[in-house]
Amino acid sequence: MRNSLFSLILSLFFVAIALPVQATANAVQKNIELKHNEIETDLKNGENESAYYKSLALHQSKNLVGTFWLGWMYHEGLFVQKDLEKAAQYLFKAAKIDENYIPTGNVEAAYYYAALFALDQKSKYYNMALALKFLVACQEIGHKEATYLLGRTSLRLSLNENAKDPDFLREKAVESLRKASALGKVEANYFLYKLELEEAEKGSISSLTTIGKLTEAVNKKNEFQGFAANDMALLYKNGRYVSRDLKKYISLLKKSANLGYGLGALNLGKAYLAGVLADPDYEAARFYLEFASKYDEKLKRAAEHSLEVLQHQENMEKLARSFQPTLEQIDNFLTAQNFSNLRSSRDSGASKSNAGVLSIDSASSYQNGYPRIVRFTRTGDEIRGSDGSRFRLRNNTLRSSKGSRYTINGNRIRGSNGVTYKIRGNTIRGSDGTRCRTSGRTTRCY
Amino acid sequence: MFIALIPAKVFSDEKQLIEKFGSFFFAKIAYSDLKDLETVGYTIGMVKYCPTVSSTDYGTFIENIHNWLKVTATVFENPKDYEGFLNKRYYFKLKSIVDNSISVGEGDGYILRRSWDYKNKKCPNALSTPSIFSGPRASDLRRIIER
Repeated sequence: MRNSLFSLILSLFFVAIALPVQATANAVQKNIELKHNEIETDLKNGENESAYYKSLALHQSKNLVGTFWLGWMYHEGLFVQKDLEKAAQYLFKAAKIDENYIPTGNVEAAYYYAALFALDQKSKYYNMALALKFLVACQEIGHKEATYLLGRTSLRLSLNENAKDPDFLREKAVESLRKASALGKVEANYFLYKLELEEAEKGSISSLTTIGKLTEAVNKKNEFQGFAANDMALLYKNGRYVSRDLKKYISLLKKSANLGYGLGALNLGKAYLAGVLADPDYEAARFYLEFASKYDEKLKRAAEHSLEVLQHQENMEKLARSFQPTLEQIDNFLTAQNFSNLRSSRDSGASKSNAGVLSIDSASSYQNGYPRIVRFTRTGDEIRGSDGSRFRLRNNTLRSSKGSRYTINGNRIRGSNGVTYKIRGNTIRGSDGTRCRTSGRTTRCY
Repeated sequence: MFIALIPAKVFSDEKQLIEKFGSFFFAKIAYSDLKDLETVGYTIGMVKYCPTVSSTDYGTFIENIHNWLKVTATVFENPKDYEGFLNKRYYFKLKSIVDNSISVGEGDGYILRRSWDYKNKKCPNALSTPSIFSGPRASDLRRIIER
């Protein structure tokens, strides 16, 4: 009983002490946040001078928020001249490391020092181990950007050929990216999707759980929105992990290209060239392919190759569109005569003129009951008869200089004078009783 | 105009071409000259009345040439893609050229159908060129997406 009473009194004592201490700490934290926000607002509004003096005052009163902002302003060259040395020093000071090099001061300062200096290989402050320590410390506090950066850095290190334990680094990367995603960093979603896709490609998993995350990366504004849209488009095109949908494929590629992503533009150009949804649209394809070729050196070659294909394809289609059939009925009538051993220019040795023997007008040349032999020679569209008659060919109509017309339809010839002729082999039969037969070099009508 | 029944030279070694480059590449080379395409159509039309060609055979010949045209008018987004998209606009234009020449060939074949030369020289000559009368590979046709 006495013991329990003692413990109650003790706990009340601790509570009595802890409450004011907690209240004081909260008040200090709130004050720091207020100051931080105040300077940030000033900088956003372009009031750099005011922000600088406020930061300086805070820094002189040993407030690390002021030190951080001074570092930031030296880095960006706001009100003061840009000075990376000073910027690094202020940020490092604001981060306030302990004996184990773990930052205990301003979180933002620790993050920016790691991001801007410790991770920059060109910087003289490059120190990967320190950067990782800073980022891990920030991640433990729940700093969104630092968590994401830690994930990406771990991922980059795991891909390094000299990495000692790439699997461990990869695990850590996934862990950090998941945390960043949970904190609302949309870019982390895209990386989580890429990592899972890689696993799926290897065959270690059969379905993707990060499609929703990818969709979020496509729909929300972020650094990798164009990349995500392109990747999502390819998923819809291939019909893997999602049902195939070519309309979505094109609309997502359009989104990716319109966000200025070169690979998206290249894919969209190719899609327009192939005619995924409708027949090829060469103008649109050319526009996006030219954009892609200017976007990136790596894409230039692929885009230029596609432009060559486009040019060839467009030319072929133009040729087909403007192609005039060379085979006409009347020509083939003459050809048919050649085939059927009627006399032709080939037999007589004339190579260039399209000659043949026509017996069409023989009936009209049939006089006084005597057969008359007429030889017809064709030059271009003109046919000259040995009896002085002339004919002109237009499509399947033969016009004679005497005014009569003959329409050729298959093996039938209809004259404007009402007489019809039928060709059968090397014989032409007229409805008026005319019979013409070709034998060797002569055509006889009777 | 004299039209030979001997098809264009590109058809002479078509089997090697198909084996080497695939039907799609072959078709694009073979039908790049539209006059050759006309010749092929005309030749097919001409054989309609050959004694050894049944109406079913003839229908198959026409289907085969139409399939070749589909292969010709198919565009692949990427060379490694399994599926390609049919450019219908181009396909129908090529088809109209071929169909026109087929009808011309049919007309001429009808005129000549009873001649000795046609039955004993032209028909065997034309039919001995299998490239015109055999279609593209079925596996290649399955790769074409017709919207």
